Amino acid sequence: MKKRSEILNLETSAIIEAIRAGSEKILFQIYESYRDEFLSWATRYHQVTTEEAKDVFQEAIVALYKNVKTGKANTLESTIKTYLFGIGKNIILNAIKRKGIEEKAYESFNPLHDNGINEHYDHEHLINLVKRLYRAMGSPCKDILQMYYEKGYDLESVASHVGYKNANVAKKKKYECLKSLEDRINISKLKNILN
Amino acid sequence: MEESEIIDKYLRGELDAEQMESFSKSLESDITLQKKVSLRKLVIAGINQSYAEELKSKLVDFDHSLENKKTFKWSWRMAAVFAVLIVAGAAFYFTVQSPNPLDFDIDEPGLPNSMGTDTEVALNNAMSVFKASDYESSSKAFGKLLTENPKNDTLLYFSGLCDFRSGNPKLAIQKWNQVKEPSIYFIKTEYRLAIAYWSIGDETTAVELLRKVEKVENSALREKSAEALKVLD
Repeated sequence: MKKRSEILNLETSAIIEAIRAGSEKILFQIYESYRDEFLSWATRYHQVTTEEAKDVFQEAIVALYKNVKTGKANTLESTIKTYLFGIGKNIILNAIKRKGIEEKAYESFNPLHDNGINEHYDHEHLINLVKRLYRAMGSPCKDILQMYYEKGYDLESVASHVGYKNANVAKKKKYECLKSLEDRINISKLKNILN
Repeated sequence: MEESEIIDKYLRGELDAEQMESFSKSLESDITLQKKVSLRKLVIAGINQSYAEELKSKLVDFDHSLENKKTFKWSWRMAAVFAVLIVAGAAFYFTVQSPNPLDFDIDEPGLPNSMGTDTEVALNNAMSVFKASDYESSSKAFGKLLTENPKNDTLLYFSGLCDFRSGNPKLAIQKWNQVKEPSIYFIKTEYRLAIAYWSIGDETTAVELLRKVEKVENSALREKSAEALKVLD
């Protein structure tokens, strides 16, 4: 694994590019490079425990990944470290705020007012359903769908990673896997409605 | 292009302008297509979230491995520290346990002060400093007197003793070797010479001298020599 100094030598744009290309390795390198500093900083200045700080830093890394994938972190003006610490700080502050809101909400909870909770709950419920069915798929469907929809690989790259002859074979297999997953989701949704 | 493929390309932004316009128009009016796009978005969101959770879980495992690595490193450091302590302890033990020639240095009360000539005053002064255990200063004082009386056995003996006790055994040996019989200091000097040779690592000469002293009848140093010989043998 690269040493911290080597990570620091990389341009932010190069790191972003590596993350976008689906490199998990670079995320672990970043994690190792800034972990201890973040833990000291978070426990010292934000009064969180070491375990909480670890959780926050892991969330920050995941957020960095998501933001790069969705194009929100395409051109960072700050360094990766500053960006991560910024995300970490926001996570901590939001958690504190949320805790306050939750306490207030609990005090003034009125079960007669919906406030769109059900809609949110439905969406969350559906996402959880997809996750459950997707995770149950197994190899190679799970890998193919992850490569295509998560890592953003094109079909040729998928074929080469899975060991298929060409992109057409990968395309056909991807279609079968996707159809199978969507059919299962539809059946489960139908079951829920009927129940 | 199949519909499923078009939906993917639409969501990935891979349709050209013409395809995009055509698909957007269909999407506005076709409820079934809208549902299919929504379902695909849901699938992608589920896969994305699933991966984010997987990544988080991998980071948790990675963190444990880092902690273990640190603990392992720490254990190695501890082991290294223990090893050093054991070696140092053993070295200390053997240093303490191994016979030290200086342990066989015998007491020397010095000579009583006497009133008399300037030389005797100077000798008294040197002897007083010697009795105060200031061997460096007394060595200088005896040395000064020795330049005036280079063969004086008292001065040779005491001057040598000051040298020995201030860490100059070779200089002491040089002086003590000049103390000959029938000097009253001869036996004592032979014994001291043995200890001095021992202290510079010449155990053979030390043993020879000690054996000689051991054989001297009515000498208080016989027992001490035997003890030293036991250690050296």
